[in-house]
Amino acid sequence: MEDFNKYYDILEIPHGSPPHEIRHAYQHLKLLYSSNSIAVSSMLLEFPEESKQHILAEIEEAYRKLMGIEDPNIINQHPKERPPMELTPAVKEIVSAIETFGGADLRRVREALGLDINNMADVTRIKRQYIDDMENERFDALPAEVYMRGYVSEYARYLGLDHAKAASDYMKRYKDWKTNK
Amino acid sequence: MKQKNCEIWALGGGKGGTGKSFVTSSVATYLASKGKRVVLIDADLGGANLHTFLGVGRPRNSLTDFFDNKVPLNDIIVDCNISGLGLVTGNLYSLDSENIKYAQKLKFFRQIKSIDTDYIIIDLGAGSNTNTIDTFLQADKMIVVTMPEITAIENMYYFIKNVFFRKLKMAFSTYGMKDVIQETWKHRKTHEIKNLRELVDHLMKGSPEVRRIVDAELSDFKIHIILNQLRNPKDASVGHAIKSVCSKFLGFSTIYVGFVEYDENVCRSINKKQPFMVTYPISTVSKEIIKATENLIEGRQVTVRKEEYSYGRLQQVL
Repeated sequence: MEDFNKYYDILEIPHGSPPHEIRHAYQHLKLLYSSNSIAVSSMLLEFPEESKQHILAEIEEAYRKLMGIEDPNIINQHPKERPPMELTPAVKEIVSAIETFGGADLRRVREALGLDINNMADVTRIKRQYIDDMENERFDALPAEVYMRGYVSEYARYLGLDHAKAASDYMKRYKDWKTNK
Repeated sequence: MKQKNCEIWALGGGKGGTGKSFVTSSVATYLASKGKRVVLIDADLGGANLHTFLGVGRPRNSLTDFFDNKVPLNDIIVDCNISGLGLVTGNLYSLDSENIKYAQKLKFFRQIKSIDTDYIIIDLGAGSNTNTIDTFLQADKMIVVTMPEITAIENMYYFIKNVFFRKLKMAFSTYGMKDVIQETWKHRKTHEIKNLRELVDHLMKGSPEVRRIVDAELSDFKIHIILNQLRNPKDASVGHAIKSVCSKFLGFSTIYVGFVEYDENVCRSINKKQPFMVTYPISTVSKEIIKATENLIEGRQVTVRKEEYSYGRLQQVL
């Protein structure tokens, strides 16, 4: 079991910080160490140029590890191999109260896990806009059914849900809407 | 066990002109205004002027009398015209290493600690000589005052590195391993050590005892940062950047306690020999000094305003 505390330390945030804070810290530090901030350049006078690159690489790695994103350089990485989120007892309670999964339910679970749409887009590689449309059940804006099932399934799988049920429930709602159009 | 009767704060930071004396006298003035008893010690080697900041004439006795004539420290404290505030003034050569023997230095530290007061605030001025650093290390809270200007920040890093290096050497000395640091540093090319961080990393690969000492010294080392003379409010983020750099490049823990904007009235006040906090109590600078002092007392950081960190805005700031 990998020790994730060191990644929080690299991003200079408290251990166990939620995803939106991880993302904030990542963006901030990445910019700090790529820019010409006087705080950094005054220190670099006695460190080799590689140290800056090393720090940037560390920051990148910490972000990916904490967000469960695999290295894009590893080409064969299939989305299905990314580990799902772990559900806290509070979130499990929310999930058990859901009988049928609709867009709003999926969003509720996502929010309860402290994830924003950007996090989901990063991890699942589903377009931001599609995720938003899916959660709000803007069925007319969604891509073709054949893709939707896969997206909902992947989205639900990452959230630690029963992805087969989630996809099935959601696609039924979609079909109902289509029939009634 | 002797009960500690006061808290010692020392302000240093390497480069001259960053405003240490201004910040020191202002912080002390604020503490006194809160009803605390404060003794200010002007140990600025480059020229002790704290009395001017406070609008007090140059006192008759100074630290020179302590070191040369063995006058007790308590007898050198003079009243400023601010209730609760006392001043020990320095002299040009007060902490000059040639003049001060080791035993005298220890006596100085002992007497400082036994002054009956709530706060002792020491202005160490610029420079990184051994006596300045040793005095800095005596403090309960070590504070550096710097500016958002590259050479000032550079000097500040240099200063805190020297402070830590000295602390480490003294720690090893206490354990009878005085030469470990010196020898390791002397042979640094062999060990491929190019800087303090690599020296620390190297030591951490040593015996458990060495590791324990280094670890203890690192955990115990905390520097408070005040950023002064800001001409642009966005420069406040430089403090957070410095904190990150100290952590990543030096492995040091720091607390960014406050920033103070540049105000022409500061210079005007000094020239008129009027304590700024008293003359301009509702100015932004005074409020910032108060905030920084409260953060120092609580050990609190300057808070990050989240909206500053939206990606687009951040590019302008940094």
